Amino acid sequence: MGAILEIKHVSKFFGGLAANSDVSFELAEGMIMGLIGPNGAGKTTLFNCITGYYPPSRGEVIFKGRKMNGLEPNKVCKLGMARTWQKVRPLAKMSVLDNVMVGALCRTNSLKVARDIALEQLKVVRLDRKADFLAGGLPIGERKKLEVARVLATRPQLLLLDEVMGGLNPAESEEIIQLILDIKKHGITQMVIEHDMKAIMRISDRIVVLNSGEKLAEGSPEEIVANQAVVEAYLGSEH
Amino acid sequence: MKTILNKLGNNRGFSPVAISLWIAALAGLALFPQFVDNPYALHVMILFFLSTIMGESWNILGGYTGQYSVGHAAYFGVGAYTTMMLMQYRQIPPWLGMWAGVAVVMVVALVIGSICFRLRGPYFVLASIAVAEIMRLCAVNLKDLTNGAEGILATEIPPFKIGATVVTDFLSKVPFYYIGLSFAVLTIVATMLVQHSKLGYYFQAIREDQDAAHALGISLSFHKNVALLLSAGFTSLAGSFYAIYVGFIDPPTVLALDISVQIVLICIIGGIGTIYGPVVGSLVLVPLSEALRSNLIAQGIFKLGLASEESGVGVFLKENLAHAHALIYGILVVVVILFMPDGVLGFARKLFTARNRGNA
Amino acid sequence: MAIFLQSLISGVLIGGVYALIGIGLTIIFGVMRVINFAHGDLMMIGMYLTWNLFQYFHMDPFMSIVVGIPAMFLFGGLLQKVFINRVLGALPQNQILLTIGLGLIMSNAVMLVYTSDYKILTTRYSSDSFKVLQSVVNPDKYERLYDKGNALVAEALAGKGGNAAELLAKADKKYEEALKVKPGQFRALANWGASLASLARLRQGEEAAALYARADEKFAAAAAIEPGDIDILCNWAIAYASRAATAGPGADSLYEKAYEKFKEGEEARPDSYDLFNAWGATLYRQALIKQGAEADRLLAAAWEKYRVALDAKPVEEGAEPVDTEALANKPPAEIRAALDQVYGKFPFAPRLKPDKRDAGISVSTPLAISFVITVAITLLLYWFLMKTDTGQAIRATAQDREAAQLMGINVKRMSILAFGMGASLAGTAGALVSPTYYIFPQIGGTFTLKAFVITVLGGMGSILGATVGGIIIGVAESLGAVYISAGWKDVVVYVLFLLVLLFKPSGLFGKSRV
Repeated sequence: MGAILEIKHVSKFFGGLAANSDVSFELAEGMIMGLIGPNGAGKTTLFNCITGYYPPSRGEVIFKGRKMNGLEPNKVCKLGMARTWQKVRPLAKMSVLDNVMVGALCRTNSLKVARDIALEQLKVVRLDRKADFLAGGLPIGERKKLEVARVLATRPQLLLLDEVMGGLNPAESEEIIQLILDIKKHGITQMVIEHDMKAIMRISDRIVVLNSGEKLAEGSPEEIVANQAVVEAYLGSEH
Repeated sequence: MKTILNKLGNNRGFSPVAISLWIAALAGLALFPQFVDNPYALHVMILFFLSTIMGESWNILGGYTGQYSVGHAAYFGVGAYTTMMLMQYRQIPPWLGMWAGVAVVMVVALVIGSICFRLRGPYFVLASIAVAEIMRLCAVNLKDLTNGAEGILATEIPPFKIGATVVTDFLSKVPFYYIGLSFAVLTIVATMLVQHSKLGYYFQAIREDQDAAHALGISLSFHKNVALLLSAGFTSLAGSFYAIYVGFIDPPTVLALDISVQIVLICIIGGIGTIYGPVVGSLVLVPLSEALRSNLIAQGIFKLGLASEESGVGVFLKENLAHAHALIYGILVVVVILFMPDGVLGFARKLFTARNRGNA
Repeated sequence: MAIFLQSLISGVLIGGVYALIGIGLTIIFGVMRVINFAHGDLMMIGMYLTWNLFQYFHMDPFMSIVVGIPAMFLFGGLLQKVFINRVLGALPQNQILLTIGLGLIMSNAVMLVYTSDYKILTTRYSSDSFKVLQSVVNPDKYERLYDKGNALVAEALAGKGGNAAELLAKADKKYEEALKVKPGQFRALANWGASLASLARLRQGEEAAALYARADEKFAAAAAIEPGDIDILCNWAIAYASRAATAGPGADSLYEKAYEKFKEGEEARPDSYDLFNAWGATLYRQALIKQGAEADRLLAAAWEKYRVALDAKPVEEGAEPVDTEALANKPPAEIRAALDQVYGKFPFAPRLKPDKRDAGISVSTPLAISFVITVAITLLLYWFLMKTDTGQAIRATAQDREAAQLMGINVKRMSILAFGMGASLAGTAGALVSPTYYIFPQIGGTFTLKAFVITVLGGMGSILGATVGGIIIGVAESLGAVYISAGWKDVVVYVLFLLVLLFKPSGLFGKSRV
């Protein structure tokens, strides 16, 4: 399988500070890539650069062979790349169903079709019973699921999940893990930022480690666990 | 009552109850002038329609799309000026001129949109005010074009003819009543159509979270501009209608910040982002300000014996309540924001659901 | 150059007041992230407070800030505690609407009490001004001396200070020097003559005669350059007339000389009010020292001249109107009584005619005072915010509300303080402009808009930015009014505002957009 996403020497500067510098890797189709690193390593910034939230200062983002630099987020989404937000962003005063319908409308102009897609996605994340609730009123675990259902409704080929397990209890996290593995079965490529090491080791086919904005290591979960530099970055050199 | 409110507030589909209510309301309003020929009653109704059109128009941009324009006087005023200038200087009848007004306003709106939509939150609000103020100052200063601060007085409204038949000569308030009614219905229906379409979903998504909406494939600039064009176009119709009805416009009456604020108030008081919010807002504001202006309230206070007409309080009320409508507006806004931030409609709904829960 | 400097300086002065308004708004925004749409109305309240203190307690508007600052502080703190505090977490648009509502309540409540009539607060110094930068604006030495001479004479004739003779003597020197630098200047000669004649009136005997002779000389020289100039002729005649009044027996010949000059003037311009008025007065004066038919003849002639003067221009303000038609055929005694009224107090003072060129930069005294107060308050505010614990707590809250709370800062108290400070700054600005602006309930709106422009220009939340922003807006308005037009000056300000919003949204001194 070819690479669906290529990151080539991407750097992002804010003022004089480099949030990302010279990050490169490739993501093969159908895979799950884990993106890990300590706080402030530049993981979310990289997501933002990839999805067009802001353009990278240097380097290229190539999705399905097409250069994405400078494309607006809505165009990026139309091309089949969707993302969730670290801090969930429900459309608070709309119903759960309407939230997912907004995502579904990316691919259709018919409200009826969108409603069907949305209901289907809500079933997948097991939120269908709450379809008529206001999104702003959901507890955090369900908001995270709603977020996933909403991006899935845009029919992405590449899904970027930013800490979807953050703040969840173990049972909820397990649900999300199963969900991610389900999504993989549907052939959707995923890139996952996560702090829970156990979870990331379980689901990832490959892992990229960022530290201080730079790529520290890349490899299979086994290789990463064995990597001395990664262990130091995570635990500090005194260990 | 609860079911009615729920049906009215329902976002999806039209229930038979809602449809029959609509038909009843429309029939009542259509027949109203047949039974009531008091010009003042008609005048109040016309103001109510006007206020509804203004509120509904703003609602599309401010209520649904979340772009809090406090500069809608620009569209109201430009529409009014275009219609009046075409009528007075080029003898183009106003029912044609008002569509020219809509076209001009849409061009203006695109320019304003391209400036203001780069900004968010309070900065957008401030920019919308600044742009409207620039329009007002232009109307004041471009004396050759707009007659400056003196304003434009309509000398005569040409009768509306289809072929050779005179439909109406605009001598009574009745034709204005029906024009106002049909425009109000037009804006409400347009808002409903928008709400029940992809556009409506996208507008609301932008209101709730611009970045999230952007990432879900929604083009922010395109949809904000579409919302603005719709909103500005209908506001322009309201402006033209006002100009023809009153027969006189000048910068303070159609382009001032007060107008922009008043337009927002209609929605805030009724409940923003709902179809009937502006209607409810107008139902509160128009009778209230008319009652104050015509001293009905002071007389009511005397009749109820709350104060004597000759007492010091009575004299003060009689002299001042007529000028107090802006003061009452202010108090209303403060009360609504503090105690019912979802407007009268949202407040009523909350009240009924609370009572319902209590019963259950 | 002079016009540019003039508008620059007025702009800076009014900009100081704008800065106060802007600083108030920016402090409120910094601490609470609330844009206060009632800011101009707070200023309006300050104006009315000042007006009341002036009207009922005769308190000087600049002194009244001693009462105004604490009063407005309490008022602002109260507003914050009762209203604003409840919407701190709400949507920004709801905060905006709340403050719009409060503004509506303030302006309309004031309107109910005071009506919407314009109130004017007139102090002794309301329309005073003084000149600065004369040497910079007027690099030409002749013009500088000439202007100085004119200024001295004007001051002497205005009767201020009671040292007219001294001033005129100084003016004599200035004209002399001026004409040495540039000989043969018509205006300088004309005004020199007038000033010498005025000085002569204040002296006696030989000294007076010598001065009159010199005045004669100057008038002659000036008239040689511009024969038929009505002002010269008029002043010259007046000089003869006032000399005749003290001349005793030689008076008649001097009066004749005066009439000669009046006649020359009449040939040049047959409808000059000044000329015929002075002529009539001269004839009346001469009639006073005559008796019988001679006096009657002179009175009738004076009456004729007076009627011509009246045809040229209606009765001056303050003077008793005389029914000329009714008096036309009355006996000399009645005409004389009427003329007594008209010419009894005729000054016989020459009129100065300086060139239409204002030397130096005119600075409005009240604006200058308000600028000085503004600077003092701003410095005090900087000191408070930078050096005191409370000030630092306010700045910390402005930087990061949550962190400040964690550090044990009483954020609610800081908010009340901030709104109180904002309100008292706005109120102070209102007090400072009250001697120069009309006061009416709706004045707040324009100032609210200006305050936004200023704070956005400087960067929301930046006090230094608001200070500089205020000055920039003051100058932009002032230059816009002169070089574009008064009607378009606000457009200049709004366009500037939009440009800043679009291209430098963080403002000139702001760190980042909120």
